Amino acid sequence: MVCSCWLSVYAQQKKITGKITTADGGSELPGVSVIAKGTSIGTNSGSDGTYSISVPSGTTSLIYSFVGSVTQEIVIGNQSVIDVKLADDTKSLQEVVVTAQGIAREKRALGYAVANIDKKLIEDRPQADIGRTLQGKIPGVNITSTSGVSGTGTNIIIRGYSSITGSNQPLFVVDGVPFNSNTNSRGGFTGGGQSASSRFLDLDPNGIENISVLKGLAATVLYGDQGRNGVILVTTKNGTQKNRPTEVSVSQSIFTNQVHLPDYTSIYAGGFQQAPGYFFSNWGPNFNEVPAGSQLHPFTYLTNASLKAAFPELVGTVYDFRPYSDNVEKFFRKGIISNSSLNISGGGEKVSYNASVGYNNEQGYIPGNNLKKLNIGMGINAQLSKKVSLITSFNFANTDQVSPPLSAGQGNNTLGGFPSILANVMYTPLSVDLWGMPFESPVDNRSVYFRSGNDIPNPRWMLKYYSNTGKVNRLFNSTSLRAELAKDLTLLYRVGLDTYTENQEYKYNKGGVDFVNGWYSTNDISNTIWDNSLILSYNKVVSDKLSFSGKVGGNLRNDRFRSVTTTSDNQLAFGLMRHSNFISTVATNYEEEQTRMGVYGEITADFGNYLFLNAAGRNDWTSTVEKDNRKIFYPSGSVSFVPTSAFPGLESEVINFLKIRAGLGTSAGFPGPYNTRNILNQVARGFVDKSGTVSSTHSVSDVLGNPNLKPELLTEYELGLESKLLNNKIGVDFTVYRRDTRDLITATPLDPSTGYTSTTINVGKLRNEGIELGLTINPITGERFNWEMNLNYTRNVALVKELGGGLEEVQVAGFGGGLGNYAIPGKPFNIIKGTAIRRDANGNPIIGSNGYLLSDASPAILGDPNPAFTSALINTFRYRGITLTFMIDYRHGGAMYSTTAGALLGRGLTKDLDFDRAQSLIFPGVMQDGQPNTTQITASNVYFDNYYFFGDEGRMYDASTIRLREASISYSIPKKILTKMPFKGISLSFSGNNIWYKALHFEKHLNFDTDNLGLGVGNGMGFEFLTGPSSRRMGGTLKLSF
Amino acid sequence: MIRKIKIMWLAIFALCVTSCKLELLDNPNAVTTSNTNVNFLLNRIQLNYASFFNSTSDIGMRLTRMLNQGSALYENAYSPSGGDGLWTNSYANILIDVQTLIPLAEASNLQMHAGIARLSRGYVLATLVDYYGDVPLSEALNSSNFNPGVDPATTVYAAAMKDIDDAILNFAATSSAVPADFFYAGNADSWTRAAKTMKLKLLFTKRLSDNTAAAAINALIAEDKLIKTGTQNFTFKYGTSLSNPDSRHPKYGGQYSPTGGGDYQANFYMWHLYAGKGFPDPRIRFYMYRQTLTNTTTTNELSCINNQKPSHYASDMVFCVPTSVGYWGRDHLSNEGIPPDGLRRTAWGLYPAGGLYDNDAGKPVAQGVGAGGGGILPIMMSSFVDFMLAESALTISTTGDPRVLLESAVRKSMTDVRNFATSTIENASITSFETNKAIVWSQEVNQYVTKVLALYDAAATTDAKLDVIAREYWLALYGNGVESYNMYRRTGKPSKMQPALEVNPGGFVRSLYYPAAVVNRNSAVLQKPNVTQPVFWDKNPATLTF
Repeated sequence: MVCSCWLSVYAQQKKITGKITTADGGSELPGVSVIAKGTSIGTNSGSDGTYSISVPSGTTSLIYSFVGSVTQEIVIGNQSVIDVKLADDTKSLQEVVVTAQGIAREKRALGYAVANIDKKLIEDRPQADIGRTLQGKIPGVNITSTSGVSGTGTNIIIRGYSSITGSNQPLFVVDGVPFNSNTNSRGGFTGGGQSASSRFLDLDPNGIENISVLKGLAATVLYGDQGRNGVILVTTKNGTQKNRPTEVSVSQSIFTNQVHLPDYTSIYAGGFQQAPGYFFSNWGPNFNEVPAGSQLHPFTYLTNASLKAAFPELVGTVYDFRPYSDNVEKFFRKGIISNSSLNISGGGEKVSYNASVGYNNEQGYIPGNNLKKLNIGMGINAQLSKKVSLITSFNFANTDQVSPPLSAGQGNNTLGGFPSILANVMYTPLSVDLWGMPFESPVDNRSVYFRSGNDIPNPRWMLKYYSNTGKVNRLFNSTSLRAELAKDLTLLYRVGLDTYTENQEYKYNKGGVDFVNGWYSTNDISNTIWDNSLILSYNKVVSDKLSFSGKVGGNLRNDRFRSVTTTSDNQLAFGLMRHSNFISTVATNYEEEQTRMGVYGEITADFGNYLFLNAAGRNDWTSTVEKDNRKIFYPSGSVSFVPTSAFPGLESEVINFLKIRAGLGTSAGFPGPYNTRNILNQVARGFVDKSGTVSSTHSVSDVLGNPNLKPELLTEYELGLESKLLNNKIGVDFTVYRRDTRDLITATPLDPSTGYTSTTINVGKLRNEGIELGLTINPITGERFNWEMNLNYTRNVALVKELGGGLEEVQVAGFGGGLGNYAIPGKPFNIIKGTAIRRDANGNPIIGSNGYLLSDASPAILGDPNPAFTSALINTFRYRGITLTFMIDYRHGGAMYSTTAGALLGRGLTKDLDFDRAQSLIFPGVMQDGQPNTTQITASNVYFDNYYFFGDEGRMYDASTIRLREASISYSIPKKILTKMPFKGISLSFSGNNIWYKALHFEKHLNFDTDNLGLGVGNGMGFEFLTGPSSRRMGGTLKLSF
Repeated sequence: MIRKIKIMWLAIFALCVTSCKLELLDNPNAVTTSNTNVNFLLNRIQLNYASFFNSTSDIGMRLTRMLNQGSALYENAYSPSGGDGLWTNSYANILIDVQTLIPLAEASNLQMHAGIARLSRGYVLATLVDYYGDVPLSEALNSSNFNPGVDPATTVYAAAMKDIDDAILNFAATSSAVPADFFYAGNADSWTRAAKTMKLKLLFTKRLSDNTAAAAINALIAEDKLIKTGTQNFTFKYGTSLSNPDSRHPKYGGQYSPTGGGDYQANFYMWHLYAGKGFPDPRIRFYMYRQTLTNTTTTNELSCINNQKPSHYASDMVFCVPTSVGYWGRDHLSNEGIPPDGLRRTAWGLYPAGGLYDNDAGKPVAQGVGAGGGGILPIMMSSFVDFMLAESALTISTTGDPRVLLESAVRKSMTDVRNFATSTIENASITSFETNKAIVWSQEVNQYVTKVLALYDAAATTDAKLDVIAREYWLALYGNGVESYNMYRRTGKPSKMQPALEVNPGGFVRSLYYPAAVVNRNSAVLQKPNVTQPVFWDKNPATLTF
């Protein structure tokens, strides 16, 4: 960048005037330096972008420069008015993408796949979670919501799972420095972990300028092991190097958030075996078979005497036994999502700035579920001296989430004794007057509900007396200093600080069913990343046909995580949530620190703009393994060849552009800290005997430290083809890859006979192979009407090649030893095992003498949860100022275990079961002696006692789903009309998210959405445990700029 | 300015390099072997040992109809994946901790610590053999061998015996300090008696396979150092703390809550207690707590009440409801779903779970009621010793008169149960109820003993006499399934137990499948073909029906 220093004015021989605007939006650019070439004469543009300069005769051209823009040189000739459009530095050539370490490069020069997502695909969406906003938009990237509840986590997997028990989540790099994206859940999927957020939630989608996704290892090698799962490079509006016109833009969005619910029967009542009763199940009689006045109020049957005594006015009274069809519907609300953002940018000759404020207030579809986010940011680009420039961005995020408890349920209260708001709501029997009956005891606030044993927590009671909160304050800074040491030699120093505190509270009053005596837990987390990089880069143009560039860099990253968890139980005064209001309190604190250092280098060569070679390598040292295994080197190489440039004859109207690329990359995965040394578990309060004496205990940890632990090794090959065809009407971007992970760091379960139950060792091999295809088709291109289609296709096959170490299987996630995802050699990764129906040699189910199915003794393979492929089609139509977009995506295959299906069908709730339930049924199958089964059983036996609540096999489905993911229509008021107004731009849009879907193999009336991850963010997949259906979000955005 | 910036860079970078070090390998959050404490290790061993007993006992109780077993088929009753927890507790908790503790204890001459650890190990190893057969020992507990093979069961039993003998030596030696143990509060004599009684138990258990057992048992009898009185009972005593940690008897904790639920008692056992002798067993009000005094009449609570008795049940076999006075549990291998009967079904009583005494209140259980969960694990009671001696006197002619020993055993059992009960807070409830109903305990006991002895005298054969002894032992063993399961496989007694609901439930479980955690992770251990594989001391024919 050129600095404009000028002195006095010499001879005034020619005056030139003009106006400088931005190339993309046409906004006036103030502060642009204009210099007469070869002199020190210059000026700056004024606040309206106009300039005037008098140049001496003989001056041939003017140089226009501005921070963040590409410098332009314009020959004066005989012009006296020169209007200039300055283009963004990183956007100056079409198809420039941001690659590793923030280096902007021409896409044609890359030997690997990089996906670039423009802000237009991100901003003004109803999702505050950037992960969910990206769903389906990038080939090779699989994004799944853990549930539809606001603020819950999001799982992002790029090119498949490449580690069995290590993290497979990608690295987030924001404004060039790492950004913690952990999901800090307090417990596992049965311990209340379902309400935790993924920390990329702290990013404001409206504050993002651009996202690049580096998928393969050839692309990510400069990030070392941190980049092994792919890198999501986010550039915020505050951190961009783009030029910044003086502009204020304001936008306001309002969306509604509405749950997708099943269609419930209106015919059958709560009960079992066709008899009315106050059960979990809805296998009662047809409502018209129940004589009016024949049923007493459910509280009549409460076994707990004191609870029953609290309702003298209801006990023994006649109950209005009728369908309460709106039970579930009324439980949910139509949430309102409001999103406001303000962005101010501007600048002068040497300094430009951007400031942004975003406020998102999202009401979840469950009352009591809210997500509030405040993002404030500031970015400055400054030219400190002729050779030194500085870019710094500060982003502050305050995220405030409130949610009722969410934990896994199997359709039968919660699992593991941790409460969950939705564990019992979805299958509320039709005859239960959820909204008409009291939900708490007037005497002691205890929960009361319809079962005689009062063993179901009343969901309304839970709404009132249970809540989780998560408050995050996060400060994120990235600062880069760049110095031009010599011609073509640049030194960059970049420092990043990402620090946050997350304060979680779990507030459960006494009187419920799961934590009878009340429970209160606070978890105070702080996480800090310091990241320092020093990069020296050099460019050398040897000739027109050959140029080189190279860089060497060093990186140092330190991560510190601390948490203090305080858990209290046995509440004293009802309603008060303070640790001092509980009889017993346990506190634990935990600290984790890790450091990694890396040096890296990269050389790229450009031969005649048609052949590009790239070689890079990084050497890392990390603190998480013992000294001998600390150091690792990973090289990568890639080549890009553009035949249409190499052989100009090839370029035609049919083939406008063709590029072939190949890449080879390696990476490594380091284990988390503290896996190499043995420890003992200590329990301060191990036992309290009758007299109150407390005993403390020590025991050898079940986890064996492995001093020989070393990093796991990843190797990936990718081949790609990019092309533009038929007058650029069709664009193709196709990639095939194979990624092998060897020496997998596996939290390997051990036979406990060894004295330990697990250790972390390097075993086995996992292979991911896949195809990514991006197709862009422009069937109609015109000034007035334009139609563009984007098709994304992703197929990934993950295969466990071997495990080694005598292991036959490793459970990746699930219930210890039972239902869950497994890694089994020769099988797809994450294959689902669970309790299966016992079958004979011919596959016939074996039926017991009571007519019921029998089960297998050991878990059997029930399905492969990996989709065969996923695809998305985005259609965009533009007509004058109107843009219509809709996005349809389709997931093909992949097994899913659905508790919603199991619970609703097993308990007789949906319209799918409106057949004549009085008839008896016979399971097709054989008896133990091999004879055909002839025993008749009832409908409730079949659905509840057998199929859906028996073992796990009945709940398995093919999760193929077609979905209208997004649709929007927007209108920008033409500039001509705006000239008379103080606005530079006005646009209005209406959009919706997850508007319609259909899971093709699920029962129709379940309206089941497969976008759910019952096991939470992590490596498990293909499970749904009643943690929240998905929602439809619709609304509009008004955007003004001036 | 440039110079300033350059200096700043250097300063920042230097600061980072020096502050970010790579030596971050020690976990700052945990204790290491260098700063552990032998007392704390022993505490954990004892607590895990209690939990080991509780889980093995639970299996034995269910298989011998002392509690409901809720699978339709024997093969599914204890599936491989269900055994991981027990195996983990055995090896990865108890045995590795014992292995860690012994050298530390002996280095400080903490003999009693070492003895308790050894006795626990001996018991665990012997019980693993009883339940699984061949198990890993010589190659186990070695962090450099992830695939330890199994040792023959007899070898493991011998190792268990050696541990018990070594423990006896430890208890005889002078310790530099006495641990605060949970069983005998550091009483060396009691520990010695417990160890010798464990030795008796092992010898006695393998009596079918070892013809030297009788002589060895006689030597122990002659020594007269077995558990003899109630104060010498080897029991683990739970506390009443609800949380932090929950120190209550696990059976109490699982049932005495606002919603009840928990275990189903076995109909067959309750029938025996209530009607087996023609009058209720004096212990029934201590063992079982009825939440209702009348039987339910709704299938919503008990679906089998309108069902026909399965055709393979004998005409005098109990089915569905064992009595007419509100005792209801489940039939053997009933895998039905769970109706809303959590506050209706018969619950664990005062002995041994620390729950409620059944004083005909007929009220639902609740958290904290009764003895608050301050129950015991009856691992080895003085009555059990006499039952064992009675059986061995009858079958392998060890010292003693089986009839005398039987009477003594039954009386001791009554005393053990009553003494425990009256030592709890429920004593007041017992006294007032017995006063109101004019119940005289000693008369009840005498009536019962008379009946038992009459049955014994009426038994014509040794086998029939053994059946009487075994049935009484079984009735005394409530809370201890380890001995009842061993007895059932050793003797096939008590005879004529309630069959499974399924006509063909598969062969009886004569040993458990190896846990999934073993066979899936350890290439040196292969799964058994089925659950009918007997363990080494079970010399009964494969045709023996249970």
